[in-house]
Amino acid sequence: MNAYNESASIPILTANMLTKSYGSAPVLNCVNLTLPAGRIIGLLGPNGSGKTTLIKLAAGLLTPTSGEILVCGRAPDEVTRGLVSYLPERTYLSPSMRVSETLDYFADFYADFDRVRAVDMMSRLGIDDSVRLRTLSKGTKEKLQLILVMSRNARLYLLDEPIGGVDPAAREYILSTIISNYASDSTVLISTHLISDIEAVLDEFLFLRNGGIVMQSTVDDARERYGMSVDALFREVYRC
Amino acid sequence: MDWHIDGSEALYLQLAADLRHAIICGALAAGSRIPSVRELASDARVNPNTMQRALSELEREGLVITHGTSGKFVTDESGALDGARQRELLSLALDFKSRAEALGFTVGEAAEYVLRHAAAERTEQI
Amino acid sequence: MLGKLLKHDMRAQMRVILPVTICVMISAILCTGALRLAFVLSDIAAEPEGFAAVLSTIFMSWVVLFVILNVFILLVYPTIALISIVVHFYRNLYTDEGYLTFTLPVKTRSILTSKFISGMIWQLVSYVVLIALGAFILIFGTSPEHIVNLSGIRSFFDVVGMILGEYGWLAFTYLISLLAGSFYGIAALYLAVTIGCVVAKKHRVLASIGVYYVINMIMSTMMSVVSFIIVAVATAMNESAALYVSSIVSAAFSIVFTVAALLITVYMMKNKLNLS
Repeated sequence: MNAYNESASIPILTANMLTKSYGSAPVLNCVNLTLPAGRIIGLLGPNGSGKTTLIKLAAGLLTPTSGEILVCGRAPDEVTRGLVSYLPERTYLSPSMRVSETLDYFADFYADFDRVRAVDMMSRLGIDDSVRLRTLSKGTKEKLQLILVMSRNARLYLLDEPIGGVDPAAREYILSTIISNYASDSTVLISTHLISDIEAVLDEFLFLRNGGIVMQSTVDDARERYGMSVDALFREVYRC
Repeated sequence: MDWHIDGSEALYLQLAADLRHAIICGALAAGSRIPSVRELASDARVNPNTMQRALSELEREGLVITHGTSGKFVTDESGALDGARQRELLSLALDFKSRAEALGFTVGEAAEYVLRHAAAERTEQI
Repeated sequence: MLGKLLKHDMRAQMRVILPVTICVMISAILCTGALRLAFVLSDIAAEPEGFAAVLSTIFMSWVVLFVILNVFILLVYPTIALISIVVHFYRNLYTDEGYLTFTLPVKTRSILTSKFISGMIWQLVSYVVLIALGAFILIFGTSPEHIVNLSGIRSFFDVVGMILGEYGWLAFTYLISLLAGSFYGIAALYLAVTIGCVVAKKHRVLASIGVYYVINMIMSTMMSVVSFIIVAVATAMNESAALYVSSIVSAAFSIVFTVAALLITVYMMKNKLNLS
């Protein structure tokens, strides 16, 4: 399949009997999933449920033990990596790089990178582009990475725990930045265990538990059917 | 803009209520251009589709008008604005009535109390 | 894309290698100066009597120590360059930076090719610098009477001319085998680091070092056995051919091992990658 096919009928992310194990224990077990374009989708579940593994598989950092995962109908390769904008939980920029060099780096490798937008967001945060990353605080580095990732016009954004361990003001900044920057008709997949903060942003959600999807629904449907917020629903479903 | 969101009712209705309030109070001036769906959604930290639904609600009520490709605008028809203001006041009044009755007052007693204390407040200010 | 990868890799490696190279250059200049000082001092010390003679004898030992230190630095320099190349490889691929590198829209083999080429270039640069600085010291620091050791230079070129004249091709083949050997050196290090990081969760550096020793042992055993056989056969046929043959055999081995190491490394990066 041609990955650049603009047809909206190709789902952005597909998983067929996707399994990933380390040794004998499967972290993801026969997962089947189809994510359409143009949605903000929450990948929800407690730590250890396989969220990060699923995201890494979609990003091309892991290979499936069995089954398949497809991005725009294509197995992860250098083409899909160009369609996916990935924000991991950690700082993946070299501390010795200057801010301007990170912009150069993204502009060099990603054709869909909007440097003007990134520079604008950085200047509004007051980040001086000549300083080295190691001089920035952890919070600022996280925001910088978010800006770089969201300044790309990707088809799929994979955000792994973007708001965990972050103060409320930063959380608001992060959510605003995500909402105002993702390319329309693109899908944003946000993995988190902090549901109440993110619920209002989501179109759809998936509950992941022990390597399997236990629920997939739009937020509206779930509220209507169960008469409670997704956050409350989560507590019900995951009650120990 | 101030956004008041809680888990009580459908999100888009709450957003619509906040937008309606802003229009009635003039925070979003009559005839002025409304920021894009994306901007509003980003400001409120909600999904753009939800914000779109809130705006559609207001378009249904005639408070918001889409001018082709130039965007969405607050209506400048005073009729529509007055109507909205009155509906808001009505809902305030009904809410007040039911709460006063829950406290054991009749509507008449409660209304008289309001007038008396509003007058007193005015004399205090003078 | 390979060009861009190369640009960034070269730049990143340069950040360490350039300052080190400049230090080594300074060290070489100081060394030459020290040697010249030693000549002066030894002249003074040779005088039959005088306080200056005694003093200069004392200074002499310090100067000699200094020269030895600088020579040591010079000799260690290519190894330092190589270590920094491997450290960049490890850091850029198998620490948190790997999350960025491996999600770039480039083929995995391009990532490795870029690291390999840039590593080779800097390694060759370090050898060239070493030879140039060594020559500098020898030219300007080994002649007591003149600043430039002209007679030394003359003898050197005489010897080189003779070698090239009689053993030109052999020398060339030998150089090729050295070059191929250094290709292999880098590929083996990259492979060892990759295997170490895939296999071990903790103490990955130690695991990589361990894997490197194992690889080296296997390779050198294989190479010794094969070249022994081949050289024995070749010597039986023609004596001077033995030297040629051993150079060619070692060059061929290095190239084959290099290609194998690179292929295995790419395979592991594609299929066995598991960043923490």
